[in-house]
Amino acid sequence: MKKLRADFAIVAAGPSGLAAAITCAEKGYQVIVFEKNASPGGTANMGVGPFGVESRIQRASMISLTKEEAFQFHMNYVHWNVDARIVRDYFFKSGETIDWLEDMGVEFFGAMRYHPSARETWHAVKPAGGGVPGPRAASSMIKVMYERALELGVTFYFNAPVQGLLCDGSGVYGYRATDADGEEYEVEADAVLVATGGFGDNPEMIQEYTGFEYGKDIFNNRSPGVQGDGIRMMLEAGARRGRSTMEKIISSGKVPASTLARVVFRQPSALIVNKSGDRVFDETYIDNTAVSANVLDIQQDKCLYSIIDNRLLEYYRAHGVDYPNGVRREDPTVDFERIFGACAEEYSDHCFVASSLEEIAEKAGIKKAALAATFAEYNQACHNNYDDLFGKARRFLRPIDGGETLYCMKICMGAYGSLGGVQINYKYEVLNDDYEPIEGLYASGSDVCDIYAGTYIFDLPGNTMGFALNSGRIAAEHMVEFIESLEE
Amino acid sequence: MVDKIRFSVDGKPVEALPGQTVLEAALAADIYIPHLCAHPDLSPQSSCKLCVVEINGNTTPVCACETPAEEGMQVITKSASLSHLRNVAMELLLAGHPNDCASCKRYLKCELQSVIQYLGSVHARLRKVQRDTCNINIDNPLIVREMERCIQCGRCVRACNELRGVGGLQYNKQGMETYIGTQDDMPLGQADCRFCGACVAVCPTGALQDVEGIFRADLPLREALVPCQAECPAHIDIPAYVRAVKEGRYSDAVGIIREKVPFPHALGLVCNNRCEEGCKRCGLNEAVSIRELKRFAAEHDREQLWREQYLKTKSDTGKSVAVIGAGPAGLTAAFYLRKAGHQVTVYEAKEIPGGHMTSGMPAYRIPTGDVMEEIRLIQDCGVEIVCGHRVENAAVLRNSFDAVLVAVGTSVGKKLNQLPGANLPQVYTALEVLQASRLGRQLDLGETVTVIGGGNVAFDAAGTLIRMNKNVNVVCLEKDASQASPHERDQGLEEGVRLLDCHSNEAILARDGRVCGLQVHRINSFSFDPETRGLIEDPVPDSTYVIPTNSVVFAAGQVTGLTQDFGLALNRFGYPVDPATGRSGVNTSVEGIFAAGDVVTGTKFVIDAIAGAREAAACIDRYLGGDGELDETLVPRERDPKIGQRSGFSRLKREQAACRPAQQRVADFQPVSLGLSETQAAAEAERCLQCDLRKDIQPVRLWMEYGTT
Repeated sequence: MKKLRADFAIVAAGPSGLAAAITCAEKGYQVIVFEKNASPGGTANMGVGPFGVESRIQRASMISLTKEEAFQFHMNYVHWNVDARIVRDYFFKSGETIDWLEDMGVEFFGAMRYHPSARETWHAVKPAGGGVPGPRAASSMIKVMYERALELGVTFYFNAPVQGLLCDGSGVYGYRATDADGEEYEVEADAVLVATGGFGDNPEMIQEYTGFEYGKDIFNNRSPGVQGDGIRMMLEAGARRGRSTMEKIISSGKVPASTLARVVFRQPSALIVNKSGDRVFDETYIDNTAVSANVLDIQQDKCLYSIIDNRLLEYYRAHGVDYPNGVRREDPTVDFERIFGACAEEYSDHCFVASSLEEIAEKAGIKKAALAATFAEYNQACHNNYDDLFGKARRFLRPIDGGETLYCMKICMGAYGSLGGVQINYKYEVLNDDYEPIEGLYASGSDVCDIYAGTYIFDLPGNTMGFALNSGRIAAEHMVEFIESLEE
Repeated sequence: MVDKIRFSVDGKPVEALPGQTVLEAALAADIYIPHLCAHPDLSPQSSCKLCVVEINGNTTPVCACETPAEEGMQVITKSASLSHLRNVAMELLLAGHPNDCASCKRYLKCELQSVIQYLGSVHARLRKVQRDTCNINIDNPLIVREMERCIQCGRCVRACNELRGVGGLQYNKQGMETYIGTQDDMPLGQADCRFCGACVAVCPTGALQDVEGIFRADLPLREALVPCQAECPAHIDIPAYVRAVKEGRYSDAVGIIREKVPFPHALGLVCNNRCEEGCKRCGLNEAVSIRELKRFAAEHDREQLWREQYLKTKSDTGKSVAVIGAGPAGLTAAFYLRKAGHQVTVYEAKEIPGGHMTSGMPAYRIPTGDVMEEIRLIQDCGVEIVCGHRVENAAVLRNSFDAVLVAVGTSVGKKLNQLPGANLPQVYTALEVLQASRLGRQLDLGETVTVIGGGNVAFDAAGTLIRMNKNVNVVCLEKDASQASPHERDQGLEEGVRLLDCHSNEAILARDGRVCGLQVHRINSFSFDPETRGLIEDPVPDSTYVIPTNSVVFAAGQVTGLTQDFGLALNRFGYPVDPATGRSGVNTSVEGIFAAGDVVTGTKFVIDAIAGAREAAACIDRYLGGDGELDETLVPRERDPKIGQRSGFSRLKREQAACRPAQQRVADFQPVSLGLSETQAAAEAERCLQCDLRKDIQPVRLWMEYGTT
């Protein structure tokens, strides 16, 4: 058993833990971080970049969005059904956090949108090894942050899962951990921050906390190892359970997310129906994957079917898709017939190729007569240049009636991961059942993120990583205040 | 003293041993140079091109992994052109590698991902390469091959050939593609893979993985890597003693076992071998017969090479310990406390020591003489055993000793008193039957005996009664007596035990004050109320009948038999409790009185009692001022990583110990199983996958772990 002591002890070295560690160390405090994986950065290693408002980059690019506007926009979006102080502190800090990262050595491509009607808040990291923005770009940010933390004297232990928090009558004073060789550690600190990223890779917790059944009505991303460790240990220490949701998006079900062909079905010109064969929304909203996930959430079996034909495919080939993907920039129509054909064989309950409407209805299990009626009505609307039902924009009214081959893909419920789990206040203090802070215990990042009221906000993109970084920094500042109050 | 080579890396002075490469010397000097195909246990291959460096101002790059360090050499690891080369090399590796890391089980435990993080590489620039050879030979036991993740660093090929001498993996070609496979693409088993896992251990990506579940995820990796040892409650170094048996070093095998337990022979006979459930070989065909190898070693250890060291005690501490109960727990704790230098006296209520080993299990499973021999060694070490002495009050005893250990076990059989007739004179417990048989006492059993209960103890009692020439019925609720081990149940049935399963009891009937029958009915199914633990059954209508019997034996569990008079706080089931936790544990309500074995855990197995007693002994030693360190090495370890080829390895069948035929063995109380022959033992030991060798493969340090990056 090794005994360690620091001013602050942090559980996990994801973006939130790293941001907190640097923030504490910048103020001259000793910080220890235990991480169960071999590498730092957690889920952020696969991410693109964080949210920020009023960063130097945005101001230099004449992006006019202000903190106040973004705050108002967000709060109205969530009907003020979240902690306004938390959102306010986060948004107001977010631009400065981007500057802080830049000063540390992180380079950004600029501030981007996620979809056409979104605002430019997404600061895509420029990979150190060159290349365009895409998955893994933020891995370069992690490296810079880790090196900065080391430079400031933060101590890291990798392959060393924290087993539980050390509590006494007055609060939390450290944690227990074990490394890969079986060495046991007891780390004592004035304050502990838990930032383990939620429970996206823990189907039992998903069911218990959100009601979704993984593999049945939700096919969320499962960032390996994100198993709710932090939430478990905070609850054991007496924390109150907070509101938790899945960070819902649409998904392709069992078909791997890396299958580029799926982009073709997430276009405003597709015809999208539910199992009853009815249109249920204006398809232009498909690009806002959190909103379309809400549409899907209330359908039978939580699914929708997107249908195109080979003529539409040819149109995309010639002109490009209507909505290019912000993460995957390759052309999704390349070799589409072969790739999607293979999908239809391997995932015969998700992908369908047919030569008639009846065949699609048959294979996909959509009500036949209703689907035929919907097609007739929709194609008529396209020819009339007016969508009487939902008023879809004319430019996307492309009839699906002249092609020889129909392609259909099932759209399922997905999620980036989980959000929230324990109750905190705006100082990121973890609360007990009486809403009293558990002294010395703080939490940040997805373990406590509850700022969307159920619908992730793609209109201000970069929020998951943005919240992780900023909540880590803000929590760290409150921890420093706390420790300084002890010294007085 | 070897002369060191002095050279510089990025201006920093570095020393190398003769023969060391620039990469090895730099890494040893805590300077990171990116690399993937290089591995500390393997010869260099210089195929990934990530470790490129410039030497002596020459801008033609060379691979640091294949360049020997030379005196005065000036090595540059960082320059614009080197970065460019590394990034291109990485992008080429990634062009054929999936970019959805999050779908890979090695996420964040992956060397490739770590180097990507270091270099800041992304997929986005090059067109993705689809390989056609990814799905060749992916269906294998124990090893998952996700070959689309393979970057062809060749570490697995080198590990299989150089490190292990197995030669199962090689480079194959198909069209324009080179891929890693086996001869003629045979499945790993047919290619004589020895499933040692070296290839998985060195793979820097998720291409080679262990099948999920073979290593416990809740244990530190190093412990989990040897599943048999991890599952053994006493953590005996099983691969080491199996290896010793294979090499004919039987005494060494026993020495290795004795490092953790003082009853190798007894365990070789009756252990419930949870190690075998963990055995990785279960994923190939059947577990290695670990318990039989233990028994074989114990019965063939002629030299006792470990003896002198084993009996060595630390110098006298002047402290005294009393142990109550001479079962496996009490004797184990007594032995290790004596070795720690304390004076130890063991008090045993019965006339012989050994607990269940000598009186609670049948002699045909565990002969008294074999147990006594092992107990004699404990006495030889200086432990005093006082038999026929029942301790009435532990707290009083505590006054005469510096510490007391309560290890009385659960030595009193339970009767189901709510069953009408349970108090008739011819109603016994299984423990009474077993003790009577072993200690030569007479019971009033009559010709036909009916045992109530369907666990192992029921069959132990039944087998004993068969050998006493009785007609024996076993009546139980469970279909096929599923609570008992199938092996022990079948042995009993072979010997003539009559099993009446799916039966529920109504009453024990008597005529003239003597048991004459057991009234029962059949049931379709049963369960227990989760709240009250009461029996809920679904009876077969009108199925009540009477089994004629002269006596009834309850095999319905055992209790401690302790009362408040014992001087300790007990829970309502009669187990001592630690007031600090409210549960049973090593501490009790009285300072200086400890507990171990069944009296803490409830009735469990010999190995659990031993493992618990070791922990208790360590606690007591610390309480008495010692360091609580009980581990000792009786046999120095050597293991040759080069296991070589063995044709048909994956198909080697588990050896079965010979068993005496039923009609012969019911005539006496001699052992039922004859154990493995010497040839069988060697063959069985040969089947071991030697999981422990993997612990010797050096871990690769990732970039963050270096001082200079």
